[in-house]
Amino acid sequence: MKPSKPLSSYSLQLRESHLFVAVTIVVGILAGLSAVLFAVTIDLLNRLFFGVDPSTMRLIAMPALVSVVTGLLMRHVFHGIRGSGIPQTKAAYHLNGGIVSPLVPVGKFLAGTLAIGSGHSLGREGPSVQIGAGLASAIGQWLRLPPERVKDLLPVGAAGALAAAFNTPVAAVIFALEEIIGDMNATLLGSTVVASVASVVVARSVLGNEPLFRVPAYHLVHPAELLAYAALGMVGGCVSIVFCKALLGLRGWFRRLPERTVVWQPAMGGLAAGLILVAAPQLLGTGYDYVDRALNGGVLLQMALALGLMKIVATVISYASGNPGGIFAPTLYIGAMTGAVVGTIVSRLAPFAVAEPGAYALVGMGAVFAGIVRAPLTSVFMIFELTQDYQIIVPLMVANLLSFYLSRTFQPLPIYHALLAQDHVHLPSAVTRKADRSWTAWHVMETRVPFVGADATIADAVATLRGDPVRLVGRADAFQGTVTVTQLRDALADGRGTDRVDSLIKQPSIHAHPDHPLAVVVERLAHSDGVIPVVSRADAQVLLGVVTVEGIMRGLRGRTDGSRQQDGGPPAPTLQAGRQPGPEEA
Amino acid sequence: MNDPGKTSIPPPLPLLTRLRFVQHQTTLLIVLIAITIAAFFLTRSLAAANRALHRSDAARWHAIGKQRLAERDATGAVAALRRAATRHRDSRDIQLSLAEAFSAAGDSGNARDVLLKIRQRFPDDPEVNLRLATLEAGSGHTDEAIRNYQTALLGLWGSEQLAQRRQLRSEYIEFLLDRALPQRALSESLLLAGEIPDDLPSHLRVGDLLLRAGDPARALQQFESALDVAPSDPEALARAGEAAFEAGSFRLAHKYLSAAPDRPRSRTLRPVVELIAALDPLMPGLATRERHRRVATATDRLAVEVERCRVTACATAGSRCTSIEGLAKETATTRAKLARRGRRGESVDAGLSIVVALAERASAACGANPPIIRAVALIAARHGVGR
Repeated sequence: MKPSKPLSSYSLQLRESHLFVAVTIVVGILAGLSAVLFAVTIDLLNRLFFGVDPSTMRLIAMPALVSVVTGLLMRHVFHGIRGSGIPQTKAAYHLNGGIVSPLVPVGKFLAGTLAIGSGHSLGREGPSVQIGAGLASAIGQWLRLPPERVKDLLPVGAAGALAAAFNTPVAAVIFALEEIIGDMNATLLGSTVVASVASVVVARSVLGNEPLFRVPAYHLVHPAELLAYAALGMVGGCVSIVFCKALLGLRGWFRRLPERTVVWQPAMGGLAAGLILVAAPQLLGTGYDYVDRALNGGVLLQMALALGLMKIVATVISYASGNPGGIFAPTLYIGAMTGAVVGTIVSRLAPFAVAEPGAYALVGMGAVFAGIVRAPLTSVFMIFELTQDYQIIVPLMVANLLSFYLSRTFQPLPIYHALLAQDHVHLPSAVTRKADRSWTAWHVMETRVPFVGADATIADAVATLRGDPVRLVGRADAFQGTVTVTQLRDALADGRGTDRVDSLIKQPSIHAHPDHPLAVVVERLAHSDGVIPVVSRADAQVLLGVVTVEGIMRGLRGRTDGSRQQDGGPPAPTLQAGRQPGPEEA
Repeated sequence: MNDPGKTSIPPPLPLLTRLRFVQHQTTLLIVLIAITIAAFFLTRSLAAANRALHRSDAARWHAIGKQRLAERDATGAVAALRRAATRHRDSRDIQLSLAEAFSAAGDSGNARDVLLKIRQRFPDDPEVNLRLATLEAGSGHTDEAIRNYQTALLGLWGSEQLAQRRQLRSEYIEFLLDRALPQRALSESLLLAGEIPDDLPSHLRVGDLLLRAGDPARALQQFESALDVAPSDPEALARAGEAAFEAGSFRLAHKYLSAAPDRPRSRTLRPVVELIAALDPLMPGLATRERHRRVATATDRLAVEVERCRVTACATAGSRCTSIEGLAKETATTRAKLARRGRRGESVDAGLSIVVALAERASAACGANPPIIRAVALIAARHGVGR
């Protein structure tokens, strides 16, 4: 009998690697299937809710009625499933080690199909990404994979889902790297490619290999036409800014409404969306058939303009009111209509031969996507794969980049980051993620910090001063901001001693996160009043400590003395962000 | 001092424990694969159900669209058919109906786009190319129409579609004839002649097209083939007579036209053919005397025609009367001259030339082409006399 091979560490490691590859493939397939199932269920529900030829009553009532159900589900059963799902996925990846509750994909599937199926002007791709990523995370946890593997599975699931949702395998990989991971050189390239391919193969075997849009082969007709495409890029950038500002503004307004209205907010949005649908039933659901029509030059100028504007309004309302659904599809819709408008004008005014308006709709789609989602590479590849038309790639790149830069200038925070910031979640920037972590805010912050309650009067705050340059307002888990001693004394001198102390807080306040490199902290300290609050990335209302010049000096001395252990570098920021300061320590 | 919150690195597990762990994970993975397979079939069946639903909706809108098209509500038809096309965008029939609706609504641009899109998917589909050809023909784009007709003819035709293909080629030839392109029409007619079955209507149709395309000899062959199938068919006889007439086979023409006396065309051509048979002086096998007699008879007939013309013209006095009277006198003189020449045994050709010149002048003066003048002209043309 042949003796069994002795077990070596290397062969075991090999087995573990093979196992992970197999898991990656299965995750890709499941993510793809979930995206297909999501799309099919939306279609079936849409047919159920509206029939073949929807009546006016149905158009008005259905989104609102269904949103009551989704509102209740989101409030009482499933948390963290509002909106697109891409910001939540990014937050889970960067702040929570890739851990997503298994309830999230289930809830997103249910609420997402209901919301989009009931006619909300929202996309299915963002939720698909969250569902795919959530499934991947759940599988990783169920298989009890190491934490770093669970984290790695998150973008793998996201790529698989997006690949199937759009039938765009390359764009899905680039999106996972560019948007979810935020690093084009990520080592996960191989895994995302494998998952994306597996997902697309399965999705095509179910739905067939058809591009989402069928467009004629467009090309650059005249070299000077690049100027027209550049103009389209600028217009696309402006539209992106308007869309982002409107979305964030209305969402902020909804967030400021009393807590008890949260459950009804989706229904409020649903009612408004229903009224818009009566005026423009072409906005129902994803509206891809009208995008297809625009790409084929089948939408007239006035119609394209009206549909584009109404789509912005409908999407902003649907999304801002908390309904679960993405902005990918609306972005493409708005972009296509913008392009159709610009293309029609150019074809009427240009003194040289130009391409048909459909070509501009195609480029406009990419330009607005690049401006809103702020993922220019994904945009180029996605348009290329969606239409399988390579000829228009140069104008597309020109318009995309212009739109991207214009949007970045006037809306510095990308939309997904801005949406998270509204939820007090601050994602680390690319610089922070790559920075040397041997010295961070965490290492030099002090956790014994004095607070004054937000409802305290200015006189009380002054009475408890002990030589600190600033006072922290609020509580450790409900941090409001800082006020300086000078501010307090000036207010008291002005006879405002009985005013609440939080009336003096200036927004936005300068703060740091625990993973910020020391260089960043010092730079911010130079622009502060001498104290930098350190807040959690997962919830910016949770104060972890403060950094002062003295604190930095103490931290440095402590390390030199060997009294602090720094070998492992700073901690990864987590949603359970370490030790929290105690109650007010006056 | 802060607690950095670092995750402490656990001590490495013993190899055997790790192996058991991997084996456990492998078992779970197998379970996951089974779930994935089940999910695949569930998704596929749901997708199929959804597709079926879409198609049934599409069929419903298609029917509505066609009904509106039949009711001449082109705008309503376009709206309904667009909905149908959205629900089943691969359906060729729906797209064809949509193109038809666009055409009916006067939107030939969109109709063309729709048809071109279908052709991208079905480049050899004859019906699509035919629709495109008809559309281009209606828009006055002759070159595009010809290209599309040819693409349609070269497309993939099933064996049961040969009759349709012949019909299409026939329509194409008509189009070419309407656009005054007889050479192309003749080529296509010859191709059509090789495709038709051996039956009366087909031979008649092809013969007719060949005749119109300017090849009466081949047209005559087709009509004779038709007569082989139905020897006493009056239409075939009349057309064969006509083709023989056009081909210059007057004896045959006389034979066929005589057999179909009640056809309008026969009634027109038969007197001419009979005159040619009776008056052609250069017909082979005639004695010289008979040839001269024929020249003289032709002159007599011409004189009678000129006299009739003179009477009509002089009923209302005018300059035309004077010129015709001159011609009548000249005709009488010529007749006497020709009689003398005949008695002297001079050339028949010269006599015929004089008659032909007289006939031309009579035609110009009278402003009409009675059978005798046509007969003389055709005899001259047949023998290369006169011009």
